[in-house]
Amino acid sequence: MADKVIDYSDKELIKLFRIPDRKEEAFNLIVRKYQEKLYWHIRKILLDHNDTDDMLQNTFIKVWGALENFREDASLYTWLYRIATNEALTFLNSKKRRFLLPLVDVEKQLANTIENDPYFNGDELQLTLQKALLTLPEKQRIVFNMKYFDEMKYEEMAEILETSVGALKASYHHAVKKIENYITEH
Amino acid sequence: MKKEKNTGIKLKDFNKEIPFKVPEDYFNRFPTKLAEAIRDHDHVPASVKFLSTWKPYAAAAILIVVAVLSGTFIANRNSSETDPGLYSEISDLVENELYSINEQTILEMSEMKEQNLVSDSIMSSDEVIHYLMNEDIENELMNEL
Repeated sequence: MADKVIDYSDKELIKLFRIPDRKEEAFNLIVRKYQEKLYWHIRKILLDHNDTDDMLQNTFIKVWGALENFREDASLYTWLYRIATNEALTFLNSKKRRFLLPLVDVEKQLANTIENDPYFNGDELQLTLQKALLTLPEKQRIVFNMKYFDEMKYEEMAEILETSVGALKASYHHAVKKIENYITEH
Repeated sequence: MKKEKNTGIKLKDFNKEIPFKVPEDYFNRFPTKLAEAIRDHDHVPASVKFLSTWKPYAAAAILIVVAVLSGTFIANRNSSETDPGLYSEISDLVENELYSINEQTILEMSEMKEQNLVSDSIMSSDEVIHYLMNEDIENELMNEL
């Protein structure tokens, strides 16, 4: 099955999706091709597995509904990432509104989540790094995750986040400094 | 043992591996779970989705309108018939009770009802409306005082 997924390019998958009889097959291939990448992208934002699972489902449900009319002005990969990012950020914001938590408290809650998470299997240093990441503004954290962990090119990130390469480089540079300072202090 | 400070650590010194794991077999099961979710999502008509989203707000709006109208009705009706002092006291009492019903309370009640946390012994909206429109409410309240 993995080989079958890799055989199709994004353009081919989109074309296949638009054939009524093969829509479900194409969608299944898209899900298998991108589920892991999108899962980890969302997981690094939300940290909790169950929340990530929910948002990943939401992401693909949106894709299912919108792919028919996808204009292909961006690549499928970029488009999927954008939807996933928006879903994760919307979820964080709704959490804040629902519990009337200011930004700082949400991040504190997330820090507690990692400490008590049975699915966290990092060492003490990695825990400190994750806590350091939580001190960053949400969007800066996303930039850092995409550059540091995913090793994405700035041009790719610019397309996904709809921000300039220059702004992303500055954001990442500052994020690195903040994180290194945090780790030194803790 | 005293925890040593992480002096001068650079990010390049870190293990870049993501320190999270997933439940076993998660990615194998995910496409099937997603297909079911999409089936459920597609089977709910748009009108039902709309109604289920807006039902609590509609109920809250109706109750608030009824409360305001009832309060106004009672105040206008009784202005020439009762002792102004007593009228003022009753009016304040009714007003305080009615206006203490806020949208958030109604939404919470609605959610609790859906979760079966609220018994059916609480008045239905028809009973509430009947209570508020009760022409004898003033006499009943006077007797209580």
